[in-house]
Amino acid sequence: MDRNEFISNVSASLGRTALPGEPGATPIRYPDLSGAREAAADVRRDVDVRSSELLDKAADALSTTGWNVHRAETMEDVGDLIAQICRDIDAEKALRSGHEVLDEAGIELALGRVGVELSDMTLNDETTDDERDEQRLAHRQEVFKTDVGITGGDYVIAETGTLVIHPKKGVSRLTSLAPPVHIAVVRRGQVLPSLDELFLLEHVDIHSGDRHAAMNLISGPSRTGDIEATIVHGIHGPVETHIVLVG
Amino acid sequence: MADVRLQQAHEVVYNGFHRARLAAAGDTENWEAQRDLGKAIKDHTIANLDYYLDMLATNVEKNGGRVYFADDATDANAYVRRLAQSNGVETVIKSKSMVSEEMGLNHVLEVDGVEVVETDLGEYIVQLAGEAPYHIIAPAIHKSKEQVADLLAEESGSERRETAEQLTRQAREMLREVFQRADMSITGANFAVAETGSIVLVTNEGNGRMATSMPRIHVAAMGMEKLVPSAADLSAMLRILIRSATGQRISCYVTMVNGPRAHDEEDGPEEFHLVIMNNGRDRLLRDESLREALNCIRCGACMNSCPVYRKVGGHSYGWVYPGPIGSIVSPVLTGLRDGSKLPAASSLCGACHDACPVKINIPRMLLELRSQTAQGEPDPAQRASGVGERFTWKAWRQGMMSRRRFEAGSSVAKIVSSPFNRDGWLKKAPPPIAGWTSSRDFPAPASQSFGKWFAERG
Repeated sequence: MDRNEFISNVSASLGRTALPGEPGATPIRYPDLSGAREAAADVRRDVDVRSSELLDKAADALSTTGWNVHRAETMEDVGDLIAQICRDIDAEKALRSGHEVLDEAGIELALGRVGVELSDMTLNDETTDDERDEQRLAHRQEVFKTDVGITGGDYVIAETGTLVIHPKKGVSRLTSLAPPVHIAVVRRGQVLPSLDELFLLEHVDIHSGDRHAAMNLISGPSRTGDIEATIVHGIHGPVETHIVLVG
Repeated sequence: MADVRLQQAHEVVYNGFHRARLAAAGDTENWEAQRDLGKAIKDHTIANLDYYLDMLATNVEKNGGRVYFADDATDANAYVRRLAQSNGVETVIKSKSMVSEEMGLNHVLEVDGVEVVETDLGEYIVQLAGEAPYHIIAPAIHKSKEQVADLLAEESGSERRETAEQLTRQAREMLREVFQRADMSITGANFAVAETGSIVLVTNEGNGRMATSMPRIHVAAMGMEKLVPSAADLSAMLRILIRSATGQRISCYVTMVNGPRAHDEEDGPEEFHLVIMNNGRDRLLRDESLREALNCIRCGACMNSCPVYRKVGGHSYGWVYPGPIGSIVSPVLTGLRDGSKLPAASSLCGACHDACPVKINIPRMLLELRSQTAQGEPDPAQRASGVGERFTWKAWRQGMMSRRRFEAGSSVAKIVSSPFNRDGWLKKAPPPIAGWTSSRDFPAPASQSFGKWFAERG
């Protein structure tokens, strides 16, 4: 059906002949863009000031949603921690995202020391569309054979125990989804108090031209209760999820 | 109702989801204020639905997605069918979508030879069994694990597994094979956000994420009422939806889709289509006494709290949307014909109103619909009730209005029904009650009225 005809019918059903002008305020409307930017800057300052308190809160909430929480004092500890997790689950193959925090943690060396093969899914830019599609296909086949996916993250939400990841070049949607184990690394200062702050920052980013095609909120392992209401982990996503909080 | 498994399943739904919801509500700061906020957001959105639909469509297109407005199910099905045909789609994966059930989309695609696979585990089980979902959050709650084991073993042709964990692993492998070859996904949308041109999927299993990572084309189908103005509203609505559905603070996965993948992303769909469907919802919009039904966010809390639903179960309602809110939405969307009996399937106890996260006054609307149904539509061909039924409702109303007539009616009912009475339930009654007793029991009239019992109990 034609869009205008459809919307006209909705208007008519509401008893009017045309679209209303700007309707009155919703109960919780954001301020205009410059106001929202200021609010977002306030959130970032607050998150910085309260970073240790928020990190502790996040650790509790993350365990509640089923994450295995690991705390690391320094970046040097992170590589060893991840290597240890991989050994505990007898991982042979790992796949990493392009998040910089993983380079800083030196996971390549650390995993090399314990004999885990580490690969990367980032597309090669200097090539044709057809070749890129071939790379995509190869990557997809690889990710379903991998034992563990290792990523960074954009934020953690203290209210809900949630890791937030925007998929983008170098950050494949499947790395945190397809392998049976997911390990994520986030730092102090990346913890937001609640969903409200997350969506405010998202709103400001989108309206400032920094829009991602998707955003994934991940709260522990995949679960189902569809067979006799027995909770089982790992129906479509990971069976086991680990998060390393640094700082 | 002698089916003990089913009764246990209802208890699981009730005890599990209902108590979890109460605990989550008690655990949430300002829960009542959150409900008021949710109601205010939905009231505002529905009152300006034309404005926000226009904004949503503009922004989805700006993000590189395509929008199709469908007047009814036939229109929506035709769009998806054309899309599948022109892209040579062979396999479609579905991530739980009530709207596509409302459309009857699976059947339309299957007729064309397209393989359609449900990926929510409960929906998959129900699909293998050739049945309809039983509960909106727990679609296969009526199946025992032995029944699930048989279904999965038969479908996969591999060994029969036993425990819930083994069966889940088996389904994981079976569905992964399907994910890898699917060329189109069809999902619902728990919410759409007008200002950002996004849709949001809430799942625990991760099938919503697979659907937005694997196939080349992603189609989201939504009823035209399922949007909110901004991301701020989304935050407030997610908070009350998930707590009311399962009692969790958040589901394992919430995916916000802002359009097709970026050109340099490793995965994600190349095309994103949003189908926005009316299918009779304008009837609810036009009727100010029923408009509130469009505030529903499909959490299932009204069902879990409903004493009738808990006893008779989801299949007894006969259409896509069961339970108290379904008793309002179904008859109106189907034109007060197929579902005209539903508004009567309630004791008006008010538990649904108390449970609803957006405070929809379901009992008030059920009464409104009963009255509308009995009066029928002005066009005789559209008239819902036969003469007999209008007479019955009239007699019911008369009977309820006077103590004397109530007592007299009760005595007649007791005598007439006594040959069919088994332990206080009518299991196989003659017409007009036969229609009811074919899939559930009907309570036999009490041996004495409550008034009489109360007076005599000393």
